[in-house]
Amino acid sequence: MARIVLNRLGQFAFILLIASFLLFAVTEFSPGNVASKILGPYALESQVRSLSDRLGLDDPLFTRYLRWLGMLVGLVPNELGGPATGLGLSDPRGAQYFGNFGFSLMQGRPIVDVLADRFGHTVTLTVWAIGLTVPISLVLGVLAGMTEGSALDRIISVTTVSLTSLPEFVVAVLLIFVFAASLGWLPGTSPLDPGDRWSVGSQLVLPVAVLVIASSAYVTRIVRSSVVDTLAQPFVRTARLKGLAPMRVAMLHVLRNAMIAPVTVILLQINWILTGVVVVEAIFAYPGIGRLMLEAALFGDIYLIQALTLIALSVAVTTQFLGDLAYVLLDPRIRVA
Amino acid sequence: MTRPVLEIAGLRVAYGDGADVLRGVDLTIAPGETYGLVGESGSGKSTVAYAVQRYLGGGGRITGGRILVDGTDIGSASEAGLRQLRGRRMAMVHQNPATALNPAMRIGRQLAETPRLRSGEGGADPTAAILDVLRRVRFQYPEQILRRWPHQLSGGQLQRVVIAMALLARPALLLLDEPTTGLDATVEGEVASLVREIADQSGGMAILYISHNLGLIARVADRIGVMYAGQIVEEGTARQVLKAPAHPYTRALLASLPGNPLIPPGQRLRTIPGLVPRPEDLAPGCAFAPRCYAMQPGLCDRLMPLDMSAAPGSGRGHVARCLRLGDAPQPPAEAATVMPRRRAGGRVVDVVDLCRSFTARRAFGGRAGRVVAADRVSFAIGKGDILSLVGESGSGKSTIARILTGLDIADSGTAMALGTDIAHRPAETRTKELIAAIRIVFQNPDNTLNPAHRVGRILRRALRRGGRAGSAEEVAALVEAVRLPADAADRRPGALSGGQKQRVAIARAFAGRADLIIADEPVSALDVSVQAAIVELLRDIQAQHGSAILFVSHDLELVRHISDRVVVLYRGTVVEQGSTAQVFGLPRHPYTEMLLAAVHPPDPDHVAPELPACNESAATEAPGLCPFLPRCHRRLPLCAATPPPERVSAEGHAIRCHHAPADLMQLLPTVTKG
Amino acid sequence: MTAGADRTTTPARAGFLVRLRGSRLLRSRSATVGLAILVFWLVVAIGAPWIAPYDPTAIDFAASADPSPSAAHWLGTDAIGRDLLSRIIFGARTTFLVIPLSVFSAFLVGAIAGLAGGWYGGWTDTILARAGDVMLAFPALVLYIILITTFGPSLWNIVIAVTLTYAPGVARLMRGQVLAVKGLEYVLAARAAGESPIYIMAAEILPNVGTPLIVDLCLRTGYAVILVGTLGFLGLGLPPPTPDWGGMVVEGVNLMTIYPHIALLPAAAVTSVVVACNLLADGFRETAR
Ligand code: SF4
Ligand code: SF4
Repeated sequence: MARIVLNRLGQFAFILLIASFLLFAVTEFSPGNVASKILGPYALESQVRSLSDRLGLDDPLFTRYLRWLGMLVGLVPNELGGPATGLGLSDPRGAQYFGNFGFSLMQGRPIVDVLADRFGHTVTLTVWAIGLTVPISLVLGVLAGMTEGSALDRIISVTTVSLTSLPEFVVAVLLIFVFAASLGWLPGTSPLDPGDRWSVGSQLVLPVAVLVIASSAYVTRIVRSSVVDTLAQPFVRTARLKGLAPMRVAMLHVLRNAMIAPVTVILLQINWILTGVVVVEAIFAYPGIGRLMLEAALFGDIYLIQALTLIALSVAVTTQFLGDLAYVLLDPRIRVA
Repeated sequence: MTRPVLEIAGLRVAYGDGADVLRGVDLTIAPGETYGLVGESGSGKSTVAYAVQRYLGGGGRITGGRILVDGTDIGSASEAGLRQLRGRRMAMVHQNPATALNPAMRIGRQLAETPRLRSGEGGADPTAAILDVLRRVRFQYPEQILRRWPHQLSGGQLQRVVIAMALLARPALLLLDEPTTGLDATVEGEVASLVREIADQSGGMAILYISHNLGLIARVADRIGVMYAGQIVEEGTARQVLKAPAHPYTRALLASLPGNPLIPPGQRLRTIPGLVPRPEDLAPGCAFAPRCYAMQPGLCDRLMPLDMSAAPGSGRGHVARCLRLGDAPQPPAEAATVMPRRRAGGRVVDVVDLCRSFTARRAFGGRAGRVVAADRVSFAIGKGDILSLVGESGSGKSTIARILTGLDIADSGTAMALGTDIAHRPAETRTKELIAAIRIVFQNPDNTLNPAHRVGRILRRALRRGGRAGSAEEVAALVEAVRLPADAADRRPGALSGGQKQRVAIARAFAGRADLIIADEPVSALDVSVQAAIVELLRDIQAQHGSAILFVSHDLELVRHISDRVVVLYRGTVVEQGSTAQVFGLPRHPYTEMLLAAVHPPDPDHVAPELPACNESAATEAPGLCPFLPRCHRRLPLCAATPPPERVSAEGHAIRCHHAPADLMQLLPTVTKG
Repeated sequence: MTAGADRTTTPARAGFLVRLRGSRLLRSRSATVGLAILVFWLVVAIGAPWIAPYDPTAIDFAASADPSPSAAHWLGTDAIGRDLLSRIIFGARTTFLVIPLSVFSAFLVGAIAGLAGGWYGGWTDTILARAGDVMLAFPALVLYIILITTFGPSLWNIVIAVTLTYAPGVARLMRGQVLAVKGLEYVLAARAAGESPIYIMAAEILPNVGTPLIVDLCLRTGYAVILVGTLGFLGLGLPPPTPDWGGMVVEGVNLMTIYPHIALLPAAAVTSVVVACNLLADGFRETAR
């Protein structure tokens, strides 16, 4: 089993490496592009040239990628800082440290500092979203699956199917319309300013609700269909015909097996929630890294984009790995050779 | 008379809005009695078992009649009452043991659930009782089994676990629904003898044993009911039904079996025309009438329900549902004899030292092992001959068939056909000639034809590949040759029955010149009553074309009936080969002996030879040694040291064993039953 | 009953084209409704210049004072006085251009990769699967953001982003289907008959893996509509002034309290297309049974 885990770990590390290379290749596609993006549209040809030279932007792509990786882990100094470039960028940590993503061009600050301001907010948002999605969809999915064909099942199924047809931005607009615009119970934006007349808690309600509604509808459907599939398995028939009480059949025979598939889906859902976070943060003006990404994209802040995408990639790959791990742990057919 | 454990009266069951699939079933089983219910697919035999437990899936409901288990009416019992019955008074063993156990729970825990039901969670530790039952189902090391996961056991072991689970309920009624289907014949025999043993020692447990296999039923049942189209058409003691069948269906069925002693090997099998009917096509009157050789127009097709009546001249309790019980003749002998075959001499295929092994992989890149599918296999097929490859699953017989067809390639060795070595030539690289010369008929009729294409298109394509024009006339001729209705060409496979699909597959195989037809278990997935017809069709066309057949099968009776030569494979090694008479005669390789011991004719008086048990864990497998060593009952000290020699008699009968042929002339003493 | 009256088995997995021709699809209510909605929008998209009462970019200053629905503007106008009905009608064009292009391209790439991986196995399969894993690590939105940062917003960037994010999923599905069918006897029979791999894939495999693929196509079309709507909503969609439903929603959000219709109507349009796709998928699933 340890071998299976190590094997998967290696695979995912490899995927992350390739993906980060693609990310780097696409964002730094043309060398001239990078320098003029840094210097802005009014830079002189000679300025672009000298910056390109200084940063080695004319080197082959793979060399630049290795340098970028080296900078990330603190082996290679970041040449963009300091007075020499005339950009006024400086980093109190020095030019070389672990986790050095470089500078945000948009904010003129080290990216680590920019992230420090925003990261926590997004974590709060996702933790709440996942923390509510998992129990809600497990309960609803199991209820619907166990009572397949009943009125309860039909209500849950129709609701979840309808909800998955709604784009999150539509859900958000509807919620704002009802709870902020019409009823005035909750704020329509969530900038999390301390001086705001709405408490931070109330500002979190709608953003979290949008994420929970969209993702739990989907997860509920997965859980339901997994429960339905498991119920149709012959071993459940064996358990029932053994005369076991329905509750025992449900808990010991159905649920244990029915949870194997959804666990993977739930972990992948974390990945999905991160995408949803961009939308939600944009709509509610929520100061997290999702909105930061959008701002960076519109500004053309390539270093910030690189940093944020790398974070997204790591989260995606880690959850995929955890999903596989959960699978191995839950299914004795794989665990015990 | 004591109260019967199971009493079914006039039971009718329907699924959804469909017609009744059970059309009035009456059946009683007394304490201590084993009742064998035989029938083909669609006869409704499994539905009976599920109805008894009131567990009809798929919208099934009881539309009439009554079921009493131990005096309790199943139809009106409450859910809680049913649960009481299920855990304590009745237990069931299902067809596929691999899916019957929870994959995520250890065997010990699953077994403990039933005794806990009885004693409650805090009750006495059931382990002792469980170990005891596991020993009863012949586990030598039951303690080890408790800690296993289901996926770690073999099919036969799993089925014994499931039987143990049922026995732990100490039921008054044990239901077994095709418990051995899908298991190898030797394992099947073991399970059947286990069931018989349990029945003999149970002290009053009633058993309902459901199967399509008359031999197995003969082996376990005291009384037999024969089902056809949702009704029991004949019932009596095992001896009455099997030795003096009264109903034309039972008679025809028994007569069509290849082991029928009245039909010597090589003769034509007796066939039953037509197909098993669907419930919605049935009218009142005799459901068997369209296929019955004794059908009397004006009598049998009158629209009236048929009742059971006593079989004249037979003992008490022998009843059948037929209007001509008194005067129905025995099934007629087949008019045509087997067509003479051209056995011109010369060989179509010459296989020498063929080797093939696979790397077994586990999911998620787990550890790998080597599986040997063919180890220096050599045999030759003469022109126009029928050569059979026999062996259990995993013997490599299908791999050899696939290599000859070009679906797989050998690691080493040669197979010469039409002057070329085909062992290393996948079908993609074979010449048109070669492809047309070697064709295959597969086992599973449901997957053998592409469901998206019409029969006509399938045959046209095959004709073209075989170097013919593929005109409408040629297609029609082919359809005619396999005795399909003329409009079959316009149908899609979904609209054909299993037997009909297999006919199309045969037509496809014979679309070219077909020097060699590889028939990979061509009838084993078909209903018993249509098997004989397909086998005879295959033989007829073969004779017309002068083709040779490589017949892959596990059905030894059928093999004995139709083949010229037989090759016995065990784990990729040829352990014995020779003419049919040689292989089925003496001397006999220990493995062949074991296979033949597992053959049970539909005769209740047949004494199943029980070979001396061998201690499986005492011997280990090692490459180079006799592959049969771990299971061999005639093992010699020498066997664990050196590989056995192959001894070939002057007549060409080859046996690979350390025993001298003279030793193998002497069959081991058999253990008599009961 | 004669021997001709056969016991038939249900055509468990006959090809989807067969069933379409038999119009069994239209017997399913959800499929009919879904199809009707899609056809409606398709007609609207194609006929936009003739159907729309106004130029979608023409500004009616008089109306901008009160954007509510009126006799002149049936659905009202947006905040700067552009006719909402016309904009929704032209918005359908954007949706029905971007979506079919991107989904078609994703399915083309995915289906070919899946067929090849499933059929050939071995290294081909491993490399294709790893490539798919790498692509799946990029969330769709993030991938698109990277693309526009480098290349700027355009129709083709949306198509590329959707293709890259959806193709791996399609390929996995296709590969699984191919593996399920590959070992079946009729495919083996075709191989044994010396048929070429191309023939086998096209004639023997494709007709029998259609249903799950079609269901997936419908579902993914729905997701793509959501994604493209979201891009528009985030201001990353096609450059203005092309009317785009997602973009129209965001323009209306600020006026939500006073004139909710400006945001809600285009939101309803997006949702109706997604619902239609899901209904159609359900319909195919039903008919497949
Ligand atoms: S009733 Fe007639 S048709 Fe039916 S089995 Fe008897 S003889 Fe045959
Ligand atoms: S060689 Fe030995 S182990 Fe093998 S079959 Fe003969 S007696 Fe048995």
